Amino acid sequence: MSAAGRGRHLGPLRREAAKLLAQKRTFIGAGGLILVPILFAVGVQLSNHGGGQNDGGDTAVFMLRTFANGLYIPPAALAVMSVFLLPLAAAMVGGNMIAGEAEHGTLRTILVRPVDRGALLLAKWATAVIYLGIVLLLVALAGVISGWIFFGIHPMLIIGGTVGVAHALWLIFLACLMVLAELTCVVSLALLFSVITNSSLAAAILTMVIILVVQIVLQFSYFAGLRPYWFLNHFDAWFSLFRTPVTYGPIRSGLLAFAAYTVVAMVPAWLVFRRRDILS
Amino acid sequence: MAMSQPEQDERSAAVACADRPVVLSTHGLTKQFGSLRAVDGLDISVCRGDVFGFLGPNGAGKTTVIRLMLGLIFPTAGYAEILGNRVPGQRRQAARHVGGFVEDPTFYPGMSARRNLRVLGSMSGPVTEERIDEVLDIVNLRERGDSKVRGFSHGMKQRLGIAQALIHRPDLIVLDEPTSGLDPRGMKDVRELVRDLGKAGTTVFLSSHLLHEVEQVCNRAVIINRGKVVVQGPVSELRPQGTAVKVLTSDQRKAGETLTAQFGAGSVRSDEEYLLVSAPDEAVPEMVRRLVADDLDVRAVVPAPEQGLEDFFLELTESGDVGSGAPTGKRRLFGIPGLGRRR
Repeated sequence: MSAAGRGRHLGPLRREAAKLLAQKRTFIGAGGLILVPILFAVGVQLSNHGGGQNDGGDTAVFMLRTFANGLYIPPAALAVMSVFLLPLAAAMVGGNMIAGEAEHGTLRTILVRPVDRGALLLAKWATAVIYLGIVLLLVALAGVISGWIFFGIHPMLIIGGTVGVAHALWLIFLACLMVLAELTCVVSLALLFSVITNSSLAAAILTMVIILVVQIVLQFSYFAGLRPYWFLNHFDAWFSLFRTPVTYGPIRSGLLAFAAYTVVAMVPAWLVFRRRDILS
Repeated sequence: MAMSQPEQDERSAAVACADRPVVLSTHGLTKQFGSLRAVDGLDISVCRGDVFGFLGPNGAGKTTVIRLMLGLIFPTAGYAEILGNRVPGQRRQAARHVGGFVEDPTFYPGMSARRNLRVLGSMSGPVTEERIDEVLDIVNLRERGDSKVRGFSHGMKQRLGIAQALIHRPDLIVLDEPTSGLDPRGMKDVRELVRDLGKAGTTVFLSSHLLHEVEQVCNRAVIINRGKVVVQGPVSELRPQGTAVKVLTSDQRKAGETLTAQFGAGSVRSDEEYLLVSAPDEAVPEMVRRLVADDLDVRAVVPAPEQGLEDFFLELTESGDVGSGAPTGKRRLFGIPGLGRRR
């Protein structure tokens, strides 16, 4: 039988990937995020060549010392983005996964087919996480390339010592994975709201509102005891990677919190979605 | 030995289909949304090879029933059964035998028609490029197969909806108002397509509120209203069987009183300038004698054309006459009270 004649059976992940890739917003969103480290590098470069304007001399020296190595651009960009921008992107991606299909009416088209609802939900969750993982790697890559162009690549000075370029790239990769673990919580929360609300916008907004409100509330000393239990409190856990020797305590706590929040969000999402009436 | 309720349900479904296998049946299917009972103990049977019309006015519960049958929503009571697989319990097994769409067919607008068919079809099993070409040919969309669905007209989407329903060669096709929103040409094309599917032996479940469509296309039908079966059976038997005559006299109001006295209020109504009287042939001479005795000039007594399914449908659904089962003639024919009412 010819290759064309052979039956093609796309797995759930491939189907979800095909759907994601058929949307312009997928590329627009990724492009926007990839621009951040590039703009970051450009901004630092322009600040370095500020033309003798001593507008904050200490800061400028610090910037020069810090960013005279292109390898600092990716972690710096990740640190800035992981507080708000990346969670926002994750909320939008997760919120769109089920509710987007419901809004367009394609959810009923899918669920008329012999697909398992639980498997569909997990495939969508996995697709969102993989997509964000790829975007994070592209962000890091864009940071490395733009850093290399503007500052060159050198062995990296970290707390407690210096590591070679290859090791620094490995640390950047691990940092991406840690940020991805944080974003997985956000995706899971957004997916839960996506299942409940049927509105992708409402799911994304609800996720972000909860994140921001909890963040604000936890600023009060009265609630300080709760901070370790809030997953975003661990957003900087990956900073510990850039120490030698690495301190694994914060990383362990962070991963535990991320895993717990993911499970706590995904279990009800799975239970609700399996029994929900599809009326869209 | 007494039969259990499921056994009785299966037996009644089998009786409806005689020697043909039952492809789809519902058994006491009920759906309650808050205080609204959208579907109320629905029992229907679709036999292999049927082009089965599913009729009801807007809001009768047709789409809710289809959602229940396809497992999109969960019943409050009862169940549907597709080739021996109960829904919702065995929904996935049942879905392998079904293709179709609910309300408007929907697709991924950023993908081509061909890619949509590949993605959706692969959920039911392997899909070959040849099969995609085949179904695109069937719905006459082969030339637009590589175009993005975003640019498709409503009619093209309806046809692509039928193509995606056919892609995995299902035993049963469920189409929810497939001609809705189409121009006359599009309607004709879709109806011919449904007829062809029926001729090819595919069982089709066609939801519609267009009675002439069902008359043209279907061999069996059910009429539902307020979530209940009003009547179910072969389309040819759904037509009223009673005899009727049209009467024109010199004084229609007075004639109406005379005829009402003879046949009852439910058997007489106005039909434009005539009085339409439900009366057996043997009663006509006596009817004319009475009219003449009342000093009326009888200008015309003509056989009424057979009352269409449309009138019948309106009577049934407007009168709220539900759950009557098989057609019974006169009661169904002039069920709307009120002499002088025009429709």
